[in-house]
Amino acid sequence: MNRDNLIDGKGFVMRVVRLNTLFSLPALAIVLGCAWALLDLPPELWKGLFAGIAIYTVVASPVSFLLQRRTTTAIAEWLDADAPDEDTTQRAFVAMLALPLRTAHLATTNWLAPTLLISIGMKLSYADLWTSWDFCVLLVGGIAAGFGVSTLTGLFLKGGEFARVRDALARAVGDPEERRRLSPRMSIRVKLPSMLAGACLVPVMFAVLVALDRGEATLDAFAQIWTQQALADLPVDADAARIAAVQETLASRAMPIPVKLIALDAAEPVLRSEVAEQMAGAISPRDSGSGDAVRARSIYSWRKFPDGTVWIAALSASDLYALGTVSPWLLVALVTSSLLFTVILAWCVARDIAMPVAILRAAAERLASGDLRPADTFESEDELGELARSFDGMVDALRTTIAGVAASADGLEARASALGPVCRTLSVATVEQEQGTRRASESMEQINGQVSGIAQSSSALNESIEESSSSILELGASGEELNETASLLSSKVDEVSSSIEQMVRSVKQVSENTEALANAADETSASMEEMATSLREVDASAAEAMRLSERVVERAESGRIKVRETIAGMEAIREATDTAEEVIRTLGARAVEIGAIVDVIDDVADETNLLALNAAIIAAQAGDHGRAFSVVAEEIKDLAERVLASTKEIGGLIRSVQEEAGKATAAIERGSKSVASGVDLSAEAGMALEEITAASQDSGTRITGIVSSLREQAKAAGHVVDLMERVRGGVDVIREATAEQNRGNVVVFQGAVTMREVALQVRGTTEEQARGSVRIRESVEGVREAVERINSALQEQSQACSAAADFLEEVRGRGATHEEATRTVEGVSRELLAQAEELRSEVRRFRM
Amino acid sequence: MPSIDTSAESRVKLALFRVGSADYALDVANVREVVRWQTITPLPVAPRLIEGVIDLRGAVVPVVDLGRVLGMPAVAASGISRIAIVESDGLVMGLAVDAAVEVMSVDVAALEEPPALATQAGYDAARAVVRRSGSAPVLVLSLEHVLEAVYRSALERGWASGDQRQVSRSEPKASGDQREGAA
Repeated sequence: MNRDNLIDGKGFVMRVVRLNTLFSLPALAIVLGCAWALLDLPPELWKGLFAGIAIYTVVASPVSFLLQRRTTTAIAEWLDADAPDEDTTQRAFVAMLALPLRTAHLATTNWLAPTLLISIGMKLSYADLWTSWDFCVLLVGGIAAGFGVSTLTGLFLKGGEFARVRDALARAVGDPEERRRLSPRMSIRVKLPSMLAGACLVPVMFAVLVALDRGEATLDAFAQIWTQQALADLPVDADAARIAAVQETLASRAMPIPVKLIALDAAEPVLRSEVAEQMAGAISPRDSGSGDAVRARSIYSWRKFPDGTVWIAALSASDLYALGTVSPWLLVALVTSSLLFTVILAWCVARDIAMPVAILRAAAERLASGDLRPADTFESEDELGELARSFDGMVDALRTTIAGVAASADGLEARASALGPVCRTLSVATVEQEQGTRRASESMEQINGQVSGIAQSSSALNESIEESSSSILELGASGEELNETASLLSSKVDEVSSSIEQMVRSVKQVSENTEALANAADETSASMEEMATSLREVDASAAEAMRLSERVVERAESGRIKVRETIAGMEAIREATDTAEEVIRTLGARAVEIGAIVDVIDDVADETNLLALNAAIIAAQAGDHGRAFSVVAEEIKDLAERVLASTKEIGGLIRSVQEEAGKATAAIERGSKSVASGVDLSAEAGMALEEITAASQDSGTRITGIVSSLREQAKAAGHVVDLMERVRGGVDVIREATAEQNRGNVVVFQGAVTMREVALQVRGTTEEQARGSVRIRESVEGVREAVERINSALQEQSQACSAAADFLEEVRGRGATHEEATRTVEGVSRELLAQAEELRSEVRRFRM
Repeated sequence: MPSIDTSAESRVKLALFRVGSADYALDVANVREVVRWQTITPLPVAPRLIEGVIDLRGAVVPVVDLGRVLGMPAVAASGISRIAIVESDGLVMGLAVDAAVEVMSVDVAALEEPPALATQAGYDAARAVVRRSGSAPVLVLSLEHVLEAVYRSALERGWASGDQRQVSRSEPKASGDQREGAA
C-alpha cells in the first residue's frame, strides 16, 4: 500500500469543492442563457431575478459546502491518518465509491431547488407580471443545468487524482470479497443511459422551448389578432384624419413591423391586385375575417363597413418571420455548445470504461507472464469494478495456491532428499548385516568343526573309558579272587598256627600243608602279577583319558570363544536390524506425511480448477477485452490439471513406498525374531560348552583320582607280591624248618607267629585293595557319566549350531530381501525427487 | 426460441457440463458462475423437479437437477460435482451437474440444427448440436426447455414423494413422466 504520493485530506476536500464550484459556472450560464434567450422580461423582473439568485447563493453556498465536506470527511480522515485502522479504511472506501453518485445528487438538488424557490419567490413578488411560461422556462433551465453538471461532475470524480485515491483505497481494503460487500452496486446499464439522458436534456430542452416560443404558427395567430384589433379600432365613419390617428396609435404600441391600413377601393396597386385576386371570394359573404396570403407575402385582416368599403389591415409576412425566426447565431451557439458538451461527456465516459480495461489488460498480461505480485487494481461501482474484484480474487487465490504448491514442492523435495540418506543408511546397514551374518556363519562352521573334533575325542575317550572300565572290572574280579585267596591264606595260617603245637607231632602233615601254602602263595603271586599288568593297562588308559579330557577342555574353551564371537555378531546384526527397522518406520511416517501434503495440493488444485473455470466464464462474458484473461484462465486450468495428474502419480508412488516399507518392516521383524532366537541358541550353545568344560575338568580330576588310586593299588599289589615273596620265603623257611624239624620247636613257633602276622598284613592289604577297587569303579562310573553328559551336551550344541546355521542362512536371505527393498525404496525416492523438481520448476514460472 | 448471439463475431463461447456420461453445453452468457457442490435444502410441496434451495453468498437460489430434467438418473454429490448458477430472463437458478468441464469457443459454422426428425416431433431440449473433433457431438441446451420442464413438473407435486410409477400409469401421455419412468 503506497499512500506517499497521494494528496492530503485537505487537498482532497479542496479539489472536490473546486470541481463543484468550477462546474457551477457553466450551470449558471445555462440557466441565465435560458432566461435571456426565452424570457422577455421587464427590467424590474430582471432585477428581482438577479436578487433572488444572489440571495440563494449567499444562503445556500455554506450549506452546500458543508454537505460536500460531509461526503468527503471519511476519505480525508483516511488520507491524513498515519496508520489508518481497518474501520477507517472501510468507511473511506465506502465514501469514495459513493462520492460520484452523492456529488451528482447534490449537484442536481443544488440546481433544481434554487430555480424552484426563485420561481415561487418571483410569483409571490410579481404576481401579475411573472407568468407560468416564465416559471416553466426557469424550472426547465434548472433541470437541464442540474443534470448536465451532475453528470460531468460525477464523471470527473472518477478520473485523475480521484482514481488514484480510490485505487489506493481498494488496495488498502485488499480482499475482493470485502470490497464486493462494501461497494454500492450500479450497473453500467443504468449508469450510462442516465448519464447520457442527463447530458442530452440540455440541448433538447432548449430546442423544445425555442420551438414553443418562436413557432411560426404562433406568430401568424398573433399577427392576425393584431391586425383585427387594428380594424376594430377603426371608426365607422372613417376619414383620413381618423385613420391617421389610428395609424399613430398602432405605431405607438411599439410594434416592430408597420401595419398598413388600406381601403380596398383606394388600395395600393401592389397589395390590391394580390388581395383582390386571393380574397375576392372570401370577402363577399362575411362582414370581417383574417387570412394569410399564399406564399406568405403578407398577413392581413379585413372588415366590411356599412358603406360597402372594405378595410384591410396588413403586415408584411417576410418582416414578421424575420423578426420571429430563430436567429442563426443562436442555432450555431446551440449546436456548438451541445457538440462540445457531448464530446466532453463522451470523452469522460470513454475514459471511465477504457481506463479499467487497460488496467485489467495490463494485469492479465502480467499474470500471463507468470508475475503474481500484488499490483495496481481498479475499483468502481459498476460491472467493471466487479470484474476487477473477481480478477483480484482470482490473483489472490492463485497466489495462495502457487505459494501452497511451492511450499509443498519444497516439503516434498526436502522429504525426498531426506529419503536419500535414509536409503543409503539402510543400504550400509544391510551390507553390515550381511557381513555380520557371513562372519557369524563362518564362526558357526568353525564351531561345528571343533565340536565334531570334540565329539571324536569324546567318543575316543568313551572307548578308552569303556576299555579301562572293563580292565578295572577284571581288576576287581582279580582283587576279589585275591581277597578270597588271602582269606584262605589267613585261615590256612590260622590252621597252621593252631596246628603248630600238633606240628611237632605231625611234621609230615606240616610238610604237606606247607606245600599247599606254597602253591597258594604262587597263585596269589600270579594273580598279583596279572593284576599289575591290568593296572598298567588301566594306567595307560587313564593317561590317554586324561590327555583327551584336556583336549576336550581346550576345544571347549575355543568353542566358547567362538560362541561369544557369534553372540557379538548376533548383537551387531540385531543393532543393524533395529536401525533398519527404525529407518523404515521413519520412511513410512514420512510417506504418510507426504500423502497428507499431496492431499492438500490435490484440494488446492481442485479449487484452482474451479476458479479457472469461473474466470473463463467471466472472461467469456467480458468479450474481446476478456480474451487475454481467458488465455490466462486456460493456462491456469492446464496447470491445475497437470498438478492433479502429478499428485495422482505421487500418491501411487507413496502407496508403493508404504507397501515396501510395510513389507520391509515385516521382514525386519521376522529377522529380529530370528536374531533373538539365534542369540538364545548361541547362549545355550555357550552354556553347553561350559558344561562340557566343567564335565571334562571333573572327569580329568576323577581320572587323576583313578590314576593315583591305581598307583596306590599298584603299590599295594607290589606290597602283596613282596609279602608273598616273604610268605614263600617263610614257606621256604618252614620247608627248611620242617626239614630241620628236628632242629627245634622254638624256630617253628617263631616262624608260625611271623607267618600269622604276615597273613594278617596280607589280609589288611587285600581288603584295602578291594576298597580301592570299589573307589576306582565308582570313579570310572563318574567318568562315564561325565563323558555321557559331554556327549549329550555335544549333541545339543551340534543341534544349536545347525539351528544357528539355518537361521544365518535365513538372515542372509532376508538381507537379500532387504537389499532389494532398499533398492526399490531408493528408486522410488529418486523418482519422488524428480517429481518434486518438476513440480518446483512448474512453480518457479510464477514470480510471487 | 432466442438464437445464440452471433451478430458480433463468428465465434460463440459455450460452457460444457457433464451429466451422466455425456457433455452438454450452455451459452456462457447465461452462466453466471460455477460453485462447488453444497447441501441442498429440500423445498416441501415444490414442483417435483426443484430439488431445493442453496445459500449463494446470502442469496437463496433454487436448484434444479439437470440429470432428472434430461430424463437421466439424478446427479450424485461427489468431489467433482458442481452447481452451475444460470440466469434466464432475470430468473436465477442453480443446475446440479456431475462435473464442469471447460469453457470452449466454437465457430458459429460448427453449430448445427438438431435433427429435423426430432424437432418436427416437438423436441425442444437442444437448441443446437456442436461437432467436436475427436469426441462426441455436444447438445447446446435450451434453458427455456429446462424452465418449461420445471413448470410442467409443478402439476405433479402432490405425487413427488409417492410412487412415481403410479404417476406414469395415471398420466401415460406426459412425456416428462415417461422419462422419469425410464430413469
